[in-house]
Amino acid sequence: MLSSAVRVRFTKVGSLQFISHLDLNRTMKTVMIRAGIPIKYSEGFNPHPKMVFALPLSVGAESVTEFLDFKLDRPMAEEELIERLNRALPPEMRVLEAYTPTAKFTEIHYAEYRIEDEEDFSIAPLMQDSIMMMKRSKSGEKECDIKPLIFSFQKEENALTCVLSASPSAYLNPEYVAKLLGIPDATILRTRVLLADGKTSFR
Amino acid sequence: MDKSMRSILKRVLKPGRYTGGEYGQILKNKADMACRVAFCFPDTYEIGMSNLGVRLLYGVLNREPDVWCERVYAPWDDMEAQMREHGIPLFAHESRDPIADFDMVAFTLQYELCYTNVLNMLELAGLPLLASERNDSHPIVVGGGPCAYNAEPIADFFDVFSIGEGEEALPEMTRLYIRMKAEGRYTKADFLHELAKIPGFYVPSLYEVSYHEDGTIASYTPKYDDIPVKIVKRIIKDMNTSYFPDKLIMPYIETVHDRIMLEVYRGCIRGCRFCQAGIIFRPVREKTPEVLDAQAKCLYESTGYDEISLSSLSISDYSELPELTDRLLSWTNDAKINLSLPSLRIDSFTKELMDKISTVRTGGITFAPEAGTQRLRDAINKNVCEEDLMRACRTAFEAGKTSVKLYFMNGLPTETMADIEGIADLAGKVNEEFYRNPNRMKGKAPTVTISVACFVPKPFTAFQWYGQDSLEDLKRKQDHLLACVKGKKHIRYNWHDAEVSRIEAVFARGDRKLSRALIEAHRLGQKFDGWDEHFSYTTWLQAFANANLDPAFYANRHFGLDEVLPWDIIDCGVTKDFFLRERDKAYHAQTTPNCREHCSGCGANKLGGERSCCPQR
Repeated sequence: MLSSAVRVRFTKVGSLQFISHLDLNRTMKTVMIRAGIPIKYSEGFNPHPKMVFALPLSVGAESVTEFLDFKLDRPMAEEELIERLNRALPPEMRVLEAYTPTAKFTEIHYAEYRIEDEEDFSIAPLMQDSIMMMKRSKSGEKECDIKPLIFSFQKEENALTCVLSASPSAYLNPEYVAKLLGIPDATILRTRVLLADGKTSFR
Repeated sequence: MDKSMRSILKRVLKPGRYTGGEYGQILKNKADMACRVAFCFPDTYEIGMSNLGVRLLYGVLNREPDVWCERVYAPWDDMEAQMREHGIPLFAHESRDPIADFDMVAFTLQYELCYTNVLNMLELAGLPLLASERNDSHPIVVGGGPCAYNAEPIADFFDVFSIGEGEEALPEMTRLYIRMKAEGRYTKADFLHELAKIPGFYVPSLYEVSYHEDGTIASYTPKYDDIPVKIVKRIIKDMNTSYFPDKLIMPYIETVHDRIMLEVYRGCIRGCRFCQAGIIFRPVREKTPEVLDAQAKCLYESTGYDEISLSSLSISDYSELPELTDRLLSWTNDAKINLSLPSLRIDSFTKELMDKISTVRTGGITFAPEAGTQRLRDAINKNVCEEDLMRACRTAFEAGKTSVKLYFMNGLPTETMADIEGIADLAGKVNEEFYRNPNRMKGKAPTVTISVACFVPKPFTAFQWYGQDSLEDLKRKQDHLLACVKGKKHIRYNWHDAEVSRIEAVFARGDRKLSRALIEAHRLGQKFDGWDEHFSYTTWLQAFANANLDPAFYANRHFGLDEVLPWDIIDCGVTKDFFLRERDKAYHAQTTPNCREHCSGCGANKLGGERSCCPQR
C-alpha cells in the first residue's frame, strides 16, 4: 500500500520521443485527473498537482526508465495505482512499477543509453583522448571536451551501449554521441539510470 | 516509427504537430474498412485541434463501424520542405498513410484565408487540384463549414460541399458511397449525382453558371431535373439528443483551446448586421442544463482537463444560464475546475456573474462594442449602449481588473469620421471610469486596449451587398484614429492589416471565376495567408493580374440589390427579404429587437428545431 510519497517508473517510447519535457508535464496533469489518482495539490491561489520528474529526457530519445515522484492525499494499493495510470496513459507510455521512494533524485549520476542504427557504424571517434564538440548550454554554445562525460561504452553489431554523465552540473545529451558517430538519425533509448558508481541502478 | 519519419521530425521545429499517437485518437483495422476519410483542417495542428466542429465530425464518422476518419493538418513550412525533399506525400495522423489513397478527403473551411492551404494540401497529397481532373480512382474531395455557404471561389477544386451541420449528413454520404461500391455501381459521376439528391449536398459541377457581359452572374442552372434548384442547409433538430463526444483526443503540445469546450446551444438571438455566424447557425437550438451537466462531467472524467469553457456565439443569451452554472459549480469547484465564459456580452456582465465564474484568470477583460458611437451601434444592430459598457468596466475595475480590451471595426456601412473619433472617446471614458473607482489600488494604472478590425462584408448578412471601403479609406480611418489617441495616457491602439481584410472580402463575396486567381496565387507560392509572416499583398495583386481579374469587382463594388449573388444557390433558412429589411433599417439607424423579445420573421424557423426561441409556424 502506498501511503503518501510515490515514485513511478515508466516508459516513454515511439512518437512520444518528440514530446518535450514541458509537454510531458502538462500531459501528466490530465493523466492524473482522468486516472482518478488522489494526487496532492500545491497550496495557494492557483493550486496545481505537485509532480517532479527525474532527469528530463531530451527530444528525440526514447526511454524505458523514467521516474516521476508525487504525493497522495489518501493511500492507494500499488496495483490499483499502476492499473489506473496505464488505463489513462497514451499507449506509448507505460507505468512499470510504483513504490515508496527511498533514494533521492540527486543521487543520479549516470544514465545508460542504447544508440542503434540500421547500418553498421564505426566507434573510432569515441577512442580519441579528447573529444571537442560544440555544446549547447544555458549560457550559449561553446566548445568543450565531452570525453570525461563518457563513463563507458560497448558496441554490439549496429548498437552502441554507453553510460553518460547525467549529474545536473554535467549532463551529456546522448544526441552528441550519435552526432559524433555520424549517425544523427539513430534511435536513442535510455535503458538505465545509475548511481555514482556507474553500475548500480537508481531506484 | 520508421527512420525517414524520425529523421524528418528531428529537423522540424514542433514535431509534436505531426507525430499523432495522442491519447484518445481512434485506430481501426484497415482491412475492415469500407470507407476511409481524411478530415483535413487547412491550418496548423494547434488551430485545427481547437476546433469543436472537427471533434464532433471525427466522432460521428468513427461511430460507423466500417468508416475510419483520420485527421490531417497543414504542415508548417519546415515540415513541408522536409516532406517535399524526402518525397513524403501528405499523410493522415492516425495511420500515417498517404491521403491520396483514401476514399474521401474532407476539408473544413473556417475562413477564406485558408484557401491557398487547401490547394497546397491537395498538391502535397499528390492529387490534381481541379475536380474535373480527378477521376474514379481519386478520393472524393468534400468541403464544409462556414465558408461552404459561399463556396464559389473554390468550387472548381471540390467535388461536393456539405451545407450546414454535418453530423447527420456526412455519415449519410459515406453510407451512399459504401452502398454504391458494394453494389458495383460506383462511378464518381453517378455517386455525385445521387449525392446531389440528398438534402444539404451541393455538387458545383452539376450547376451551370452563366454571366452577364459586365461579369455579374446571370443564372445558375441545374444540369439534371432531379436535383434541387437551391440547396437548403442541414440542421440538427434536437441538440439534446445529437452526438456529443464522450472522450477527446488529448494533444501533447499546447493548442489554442486546450480545454473542454461545452457547446451550450447553436444559433444566436441577436442579429448583428455584420455577423454571418449569427445568421447561418439559426435557428437557435438549446441543450438543457441536465444534458450539459452530464456531458461536462463525462468529458471531465474521460479527459482530465481542469478547464471547461461554455462555448456558444453569445453565452449570456442562453436561457438557463443561472441553472447551468449552479449545476456545474456544485461539483467543479471541489474538483478545482476552472469554468470560463467567453463571448460575454457587455450588457450581461454583472457582478453576480463575475463572482460566480472566473471569466479570466489574468488581469484583463475583453468587451466588443464594435462601433464608437450609438448611432453606428444602432446601424449595425449591436444593441449595446455606452452606459452598459461603463457599468461593465466599473464592475471589472471594482473586482480588481486593471486592463480592458475593446474590440471595434472600422469601415462599417454608414461610418463617418465622427464614428472613428467615437472609438477614441469611448476608450478615454473607460480610462476615466477606472479613476472614478474610490477603492482602486493606489499606484496602479489602467490599460485600455482598442483593437480595430477592418469590416469585411459577408454573404448572408444585411451588409452582403455593401462594397468594402477602399484600402485608402480604411487606412485614412486607421490613421485618423491613431491621431485621436496619440498622446493619450493608458490607451493602446492596435489595428488589423487592411490588405488582409481586402483579400478576405474578395473571397467572401467571390464567384467561380476566382478559382483562376487561387491557382495563380498557389503557383506563386502563397499559403498560410492568415499568418502575417506568410501574407503577401503584392503577390496577391500579381495573382489577380495573371488571372485577369479585378479584386475591386468583388471586394469594393456595391452589389446590385437585384443582382444574382454567387451564394444565391444556397438557402440558409434566412430569407433575402429579411436581409433587405435589415439593410434598410441599418441605413436609418434603426435597431431590431432580439429573437426572444420579438420575432422579426427571418425565416429560419421553417427549418424546425427543438428548444428554439422561434414561434413555430
